[in-house]
Order: sequence, then structure tokens, then C-alpha cells
Amino acid sequence: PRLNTDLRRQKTMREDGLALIHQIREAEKCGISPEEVYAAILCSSSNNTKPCDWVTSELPHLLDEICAMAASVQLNYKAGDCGIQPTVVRDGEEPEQSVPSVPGEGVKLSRAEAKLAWLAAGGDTDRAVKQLLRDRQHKMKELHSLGFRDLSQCEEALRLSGGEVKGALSLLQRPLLEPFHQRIWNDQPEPPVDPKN
Amino acid sequence: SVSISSQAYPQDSIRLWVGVEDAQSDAYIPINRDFGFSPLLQRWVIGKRLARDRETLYSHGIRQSGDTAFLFIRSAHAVHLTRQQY
Repeated sequence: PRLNTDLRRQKTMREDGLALIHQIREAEKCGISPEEVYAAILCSSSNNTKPCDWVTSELPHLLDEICAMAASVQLNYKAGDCGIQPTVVRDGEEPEQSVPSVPGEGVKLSRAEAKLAWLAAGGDTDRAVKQLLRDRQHKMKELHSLGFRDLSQCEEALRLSGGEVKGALSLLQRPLLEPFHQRIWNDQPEPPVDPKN
Repeated sequence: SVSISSQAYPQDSIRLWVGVEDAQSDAYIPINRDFGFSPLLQRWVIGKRLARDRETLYSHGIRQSGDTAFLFIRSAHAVHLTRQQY
């Protein structure tokens, strides 16, 4: 009898594994990664939609929801010596100190970031929200350390760049280089070269 | 998109000697060292689950000789890996 249970367990294990491998292979054809398939299966466990279809029809809504949930969590930035030290405060809770806080609407999150967080969290929505905020805080800290102290400007730049620090950085830097752009088309003649000098 | 005809890869299973209390990453080692597939390309499927790094094979239900795990190997292109990095 013991041998039988073991054999049945191994058989189920094999069949379950094969079924998942099959789904991963199917989804690969429409360019969906194994992680995405797995997270999609966990999220759509109740119905029998294909992971491929679910990712196109349902995932965008879920990502928007994750963004909205993250935005409803109040972000509280504390200015400190070593840069900002953001602390997350849930709605309804009192912030520890009366430091300037950024209301939830200030956090502008993109679907691209939400998707990365959702994948990192293995399809768990709540964990994805936490991950999303944690990632964003790291990025804000990085931009802050590079000298960009305007929180709302940084948030907006990160939203536009889909959460990429590099992209946000170039968005933030462009206005700083504007004077140089204006000079490129300057009409002033070149100063003459003085041969005696 | 490239796909491999089923004749191109072995239809039989590959037997691998591993300790079940080892982290998932230890299963990467023989595959990486002996067969030359980077851990970055490896996706392990055990039962209904897609394994994550740092989880033990035991935690995924691998208990004894004869238990099956599936190894799905991604293309280097799909994980944005260049030959230099490989």
C-alpha cells in the first residue's frame, strides 16, 4: 500500500509538471515568459482561460488596480542627512511625525513598473503592491542622490519613463541643458582668432 | 520564433543525482557545469509550481528517487543574454 501511494504521488507530480510545461510552451509562442504564465495561472485559478488570453484581456486591469492600490498607500518622505528616507504609512494610520508628507495622488506609477513588481511577487497582488512601492522608493532615493530634490518632478519623470531611472534622469536633465540648446543656433559671429595671441 | 521538432531532443528523462535539502540553485550547478546551460536560462517546473531561486527541492515536494522535475530551457535571446555574457 505504501508503494502504491508513492507511485500515485510521483504520477501526479509528473502529470502536473507536464501540464504546466505544456502551458509554458503554448504561451512562449505568443511571447509570454514562463514567469508570466505561472503568475497568470495563480491569478486566474478560478476559471479555465488560457494564460495567453488572460495576459492580454485581464492583466492590464489588474496592473491598473495594483497601481491604484499602491497610490492609496500614503507615502511619507522624511528629509534626512543621508537623503530621503521614505516610510510607508497605510491609509487611516497616523504618520509618526508631522513631517511634510506626499499624498497618495503624488505617486505616479506605470503599468510597466506594476508588471515587474507583479512578476517579482509571483502573481500575489498584495505583495506586488509592496514590491512596487519599495522599488519606487529605491528609484526616488537614487534620483535624489543625483541631485534631483523635487519629489513631484521625480515622480512624474519616473512615470513617463515607465519606471526606468535612466530614462527619468534624461527627462529631468533635458531642461537643465536647455540654455545650451538655445546657444547652438546663436547668431553671434564666432570671435575672430587673434594671430598675435 | 524558433521551435525545435520533438525529434531533436531526447524523449527519455535525464537522471540527476541531487540532495533534496539543497537549494534550487544547487540543481542549477550540475546542469550548468555538466551540460552547459546557464542558470539564467533554466526554469524548473516541479508539480504545479514554477520553482524560484533559493527554494529547496524538498520544499517543492521532491522526496525520493524517481520524482520528476521538468527543466524548461529558454533561448538566450528571450532572456536578453549575449554570447559574451554567456
